[in-house]
Amino acid sequence: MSIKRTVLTAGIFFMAFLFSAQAISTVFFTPRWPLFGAPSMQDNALLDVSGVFIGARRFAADLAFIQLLQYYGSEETEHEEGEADSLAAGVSLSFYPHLLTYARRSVGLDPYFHDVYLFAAGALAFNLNRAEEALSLLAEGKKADPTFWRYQLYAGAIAFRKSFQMDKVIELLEEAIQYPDCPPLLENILGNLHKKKGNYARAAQIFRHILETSRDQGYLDAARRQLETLRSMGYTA
Amino acid sequence: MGDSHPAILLNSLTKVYRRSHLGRVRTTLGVEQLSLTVEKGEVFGLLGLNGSGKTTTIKLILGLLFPTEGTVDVWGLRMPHPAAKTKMGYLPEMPYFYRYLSAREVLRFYGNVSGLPSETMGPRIESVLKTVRMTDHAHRPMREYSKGMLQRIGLAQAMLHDPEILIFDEPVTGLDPLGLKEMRELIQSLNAQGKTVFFSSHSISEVEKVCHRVGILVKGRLQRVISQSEWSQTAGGLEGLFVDVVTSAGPMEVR
Amino acid sequence: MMKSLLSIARYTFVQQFRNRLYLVVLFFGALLMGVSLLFGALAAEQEVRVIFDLGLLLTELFGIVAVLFGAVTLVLEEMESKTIYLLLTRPLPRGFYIVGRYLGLVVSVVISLLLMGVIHVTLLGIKGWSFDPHYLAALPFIYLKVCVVGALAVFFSLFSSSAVASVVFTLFFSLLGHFGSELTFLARKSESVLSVLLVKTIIVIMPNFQFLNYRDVWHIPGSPPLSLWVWGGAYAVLYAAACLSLSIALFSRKEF
Repeated sequence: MSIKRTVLTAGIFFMAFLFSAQAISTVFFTPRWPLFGAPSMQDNALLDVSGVFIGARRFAADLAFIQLLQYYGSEETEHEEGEADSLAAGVSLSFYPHLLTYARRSVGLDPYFHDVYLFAAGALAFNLNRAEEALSLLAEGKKADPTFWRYQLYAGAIAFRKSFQMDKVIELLEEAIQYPDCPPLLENILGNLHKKKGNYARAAQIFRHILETSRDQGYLDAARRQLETLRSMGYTA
Repeated sequence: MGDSHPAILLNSLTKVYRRSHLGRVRTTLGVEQLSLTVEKGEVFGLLGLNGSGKTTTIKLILGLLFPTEGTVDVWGLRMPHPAAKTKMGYLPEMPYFYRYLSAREVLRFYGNVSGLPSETMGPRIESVLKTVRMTDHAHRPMREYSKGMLQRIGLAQAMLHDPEILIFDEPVTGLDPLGLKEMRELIQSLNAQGKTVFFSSHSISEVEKVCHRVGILVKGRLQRVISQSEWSQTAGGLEGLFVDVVTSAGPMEVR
Repeated sequence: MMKSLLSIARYTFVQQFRNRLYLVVLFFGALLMGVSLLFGALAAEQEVRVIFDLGLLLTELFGIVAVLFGAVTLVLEEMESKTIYLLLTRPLPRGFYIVGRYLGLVVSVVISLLLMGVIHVTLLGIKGWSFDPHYLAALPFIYLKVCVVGALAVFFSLFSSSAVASVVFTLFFSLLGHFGSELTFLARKSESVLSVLLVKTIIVIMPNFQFLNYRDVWHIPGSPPLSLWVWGGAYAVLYAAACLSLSIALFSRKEF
């Protein structure tokens, strides 16, 4: 290699490094990016690290969320049985003990995966009666992304649910379901709450909306059954 | 590039091949202290046995190999020099082409790389195809060509940009008698146009028919340069002189 | 001179498609359809997000595979088949040859990526996705990443003269290149001066693909800033230029 070309190449490399150093100061990335030390990674470490290795954190988080859905959808309980009954009775259920761990794994890969926080917090608080876990998860979400104010909205709903202020819970959930990222789990809960309170027309509207927009077969079936029940009572959406 | 410069000037040219394998370096001598001048308008033949350094010499002239010592000048320009390459056309011993391209496509590609103007490209391609008698087959992909046809296209691409020096590596190897005659006539025709032709061969009969001078390589060393007048006046002809030179050359030291 | 370079690029472009590069696109399309149906069924409300992420990921992976295998055979194949002789004996600077071959390769791969993008967007549209301009921003960064990998592969093919070795080296560099922030984290945590120096050297030499991973960071609030476009793009171009410069230096001293 001629000296001239060596110097030119070295110069180009050096310029690239200077530019990259500048880019480092301007590129936005969360301090939670580093993989090491996250306690929820161990069981699926290879899969998650592979995702990082090929620059696919978002997709790795998607896969982790799918595994969360599969875990939550596994045969520990039916959706309907866990919901309104636990709300009314204040019974603490120990189903799906690792739900929080699964959620943390997904958001550990992508701390801006809002839907995971919302879904898992909703399930923990409203289905499984584990409000503290739900609130801690939402707090982590808020720390990662303070701009996503719906964490506060859900936290508020959960807080009211803890003190059995159901009207307040309904009020906050009504606001939450206006947004497209609201998981059908919460819509389903709201529908059931309205049904419990005797607001059958509103309940029917909500279950009709789930039927029209949800992609989750479990919630579609649940909504269909609820609508049949309400129809038999003379209420339609 | 002035007319005062010889077409090709080799000055104390040495090429040592080095191959390293598992930490050990093996050296093979290609050519040693090769000094040679090829004048403008000359037909110069490089004779030698297999492995004598003919192809090495040609590759050093063309810039495909770099000298270990010594220099190569073409028209006064130190090789490798892009301007010198515009004046050279090369036919390798075995021309390799892109098999899925037709002859016309290949020639057009080489013409573009050689910097031929677009307006003259088409007529020039047809002209060289006509010269090598490949006009009727030029539309077919190269993978369908016989060895002789590939050789013709090799000649065509060498002449395409109308170079002043033509360098052929073993151009007569494997040719039938008709092919030999055509190649001979082509070399003579090119020379009649004022072109310098430099080619290597181990076919003495063909070399003595067309060359003005002949250099004899033995084991990488240029043992002797003989002019046409000299071998035509010698009893054994060029063959006799060649055999004398080869048999009297001493063993080479391998470094 | 420019005509020679463009001729080389054009011929390389044609060669890639004769080598059936388009089959990569078809395979991509089929794979994306199949896997999307599977994940869609599993992902419920996140179906569109999963298809979005998976499609961009597969586009990038297929692009990298296509450019990697194209690059390692680019020069090596021509050297082995000896078709290079009749090019190098022409007034074509060796650097132009390398740049021309590289340009032809990346243009052919980028066109394949565009076709993959069309397939991906069509599938997303069928699944109810509303067009997000971030998609248009993610694609150029994928192309830049592919260009950097291509330049690395050309360099390693000339450095090692072995197709297998160059594939391995390039993949190794590419994988480490995604680990930039983790390596930075390691460097901060490490107490040994030697480890810190080693890690920092690796960070400098490896291509830092974090700067080009737009598809993984576009959803972060407040990002990416416009400067990411500028610095990330400049970084990729300079890195590829450095690799090509080294490749030209290596090729200039190659004998045939």
